[in-house]
Amino acid sequence: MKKLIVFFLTLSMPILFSLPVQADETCMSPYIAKITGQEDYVYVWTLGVEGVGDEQDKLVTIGANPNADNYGKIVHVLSVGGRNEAHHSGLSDDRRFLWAGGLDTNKIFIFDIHTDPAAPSISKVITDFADVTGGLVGPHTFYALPGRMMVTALSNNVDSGGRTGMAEYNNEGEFIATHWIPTDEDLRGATKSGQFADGYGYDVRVKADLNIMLTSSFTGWSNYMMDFGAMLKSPEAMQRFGNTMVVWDMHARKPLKVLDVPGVPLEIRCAWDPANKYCFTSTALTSQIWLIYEDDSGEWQAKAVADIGNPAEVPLPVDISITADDTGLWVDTFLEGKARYFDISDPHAPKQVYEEVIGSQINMVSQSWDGKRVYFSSSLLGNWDKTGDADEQYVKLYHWDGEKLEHQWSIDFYEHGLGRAHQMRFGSYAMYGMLNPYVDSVKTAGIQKNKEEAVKVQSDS
Amino acid sequence: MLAKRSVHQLTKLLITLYVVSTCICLSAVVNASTTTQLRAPGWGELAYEPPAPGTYELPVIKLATDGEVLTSDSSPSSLFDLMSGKIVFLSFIFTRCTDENGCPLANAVLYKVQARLNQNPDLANKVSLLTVSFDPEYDKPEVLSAMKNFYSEGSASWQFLTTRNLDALHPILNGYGQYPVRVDDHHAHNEGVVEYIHLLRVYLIDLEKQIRNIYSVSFLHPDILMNDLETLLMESRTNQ
Repeated sequence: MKKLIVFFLTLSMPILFSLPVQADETCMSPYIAKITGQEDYVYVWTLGVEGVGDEQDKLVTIGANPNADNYGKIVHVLSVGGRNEAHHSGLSDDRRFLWAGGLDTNKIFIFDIHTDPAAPSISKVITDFADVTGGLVGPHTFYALPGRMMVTALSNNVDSGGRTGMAEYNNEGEFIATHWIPTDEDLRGATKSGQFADGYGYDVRVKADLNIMLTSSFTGWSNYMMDFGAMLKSPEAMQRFGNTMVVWDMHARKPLKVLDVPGVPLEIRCAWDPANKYCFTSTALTSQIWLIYEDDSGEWQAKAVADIGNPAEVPLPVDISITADDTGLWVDTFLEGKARYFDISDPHAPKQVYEEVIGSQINMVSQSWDGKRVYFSSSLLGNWDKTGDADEQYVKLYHWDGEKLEHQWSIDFYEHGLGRAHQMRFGSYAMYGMLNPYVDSVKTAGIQKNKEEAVKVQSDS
Repeated sequence: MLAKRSVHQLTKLLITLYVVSTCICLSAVVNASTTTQLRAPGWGELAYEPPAPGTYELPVIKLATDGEVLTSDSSPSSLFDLMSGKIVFLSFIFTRCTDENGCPLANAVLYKVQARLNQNPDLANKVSLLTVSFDPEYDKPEVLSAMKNFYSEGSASWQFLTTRNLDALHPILNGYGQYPVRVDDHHAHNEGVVEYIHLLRVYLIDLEKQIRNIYSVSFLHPDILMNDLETLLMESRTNQ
């Protein structure tokens, strides 16, 4: 067995300390170890639902290696003992742990995914997020930094609105610092460049080669825990949405500039090539792709560069995913259940080149480094998902050949008594110097049949 | 002679030495379909102006970890003894590593930091550079002594350390969150070679033995390290 492992690693040669340009994988932190070959598992942070299975939030592990006998199957379910409004998750920089948050209870679950990648376990639960951070509520994005985790929040414990910030933890789950989003009342040294400085938060991404960090803005607890239909009918509630992005000095963790990006800018995806000094976001309410870029004078600017579907119909763009070569952008629209692919070769003029209905509703998208495998999941928020027959809950895998999606398999999360499928993260044995024991060739002590399928890993951008 | 040699020349020489001695080149095994590897910022000029010393804070990340080590002259010591009274840059490497954005990068950046410290003896006296090997089976004190002779110069202190064995090493690695994966001997890319895959990290440790920054490939650069060092010194002066 030892010889087998050695041979495998020799073929695949994970380069853990090399520079960028290879990476979901295409949407991960530049500081994280990445899988550039075949993933073995997809970890799905899943929201529990009353009347479905054990009704608890859970981490669902799905086999993703086509050479393994657990391919496309649920191989492990780890319930966490209650419902927390399970939402996003993120891997530590060394990929040994997966952090996952509950937007309602503020709990953060840290899962060990390295001891047995097929059967994650709970390593730690952080229960004092609001207390130690000075009032942050709704842990959302988990973004790896070297030896640390940046956790964005959505709200606060004073008015349950959108005023919020980010919390920095070490990899052991110990609190380090809070970084509040600048507001009109306290710009924290930043320049307000437009109408807004709302202090709202949502996602975070870093352009490490430029020492720039970007944050986006959503809404507070009072809205995201509200019934979707009731919220849409409430003019007051509809006023409580974010209209800003903030450019930060990454090293100093100081806000530099507040940009107007009206209409709720959500996910941020940055170009990988250091020569491409820009990132993208999509606005949920105005259905546009926005470019956040450094102009010729070195100033960071924001502008709308494309419509997503028909904005008048409010298709509600949700997750987006950039390709590793910075030429393509997947955009999911929740209400249409549709995935769109934009050619972003010219970042100032993205063009839609493909679309496909994935289900009755859709939220997250995760693609492999080579872009050939694209995973989709269904749930947005417990109180915002569709109801009745339209409330499909799934994870689906498609293959992408550059022109069309080809369905491979689907897992119905209700049929399996699991709940609402949300964020998907990839795992691989090679990251820890192991072989996938469920691959036939490994089980028979043979060698990998196909060198191209060996997992390659790389870190740090 | 070394003092006059540019870091670039030094690196070229080092790589040559490694290739001659071990014939491994990790970059060569990167799949042909992948993009050409970029050089880390630490090899050249930063693409941005880093924040000025004292204009930002470096919050405590966690406590540093102690451990039993061997110095390059085979003397037993402890990390905390070697850190005592100094601000420390701590790196983990293995001497046979040849990836230019791996251990050689850490060595080159610390070499540049050392050069700047040597221009200011008062400052050099406040700082210690520590490089710990996670390959104690090969990196014996005599190997590290050669490394020290090669790199260390001037009044700045740069110690190359190893451990008596893996049992002594593991608590140190666990404490700093370093988990190298060993790619073993005669089945490695080149016969007879041991290689490790690992996340490159360099640690900034303050006078109270607290980790104040953790650098990775993308921002391991002497300009940033020197600014962070000055920031800690300004903080300690303020607190006195």
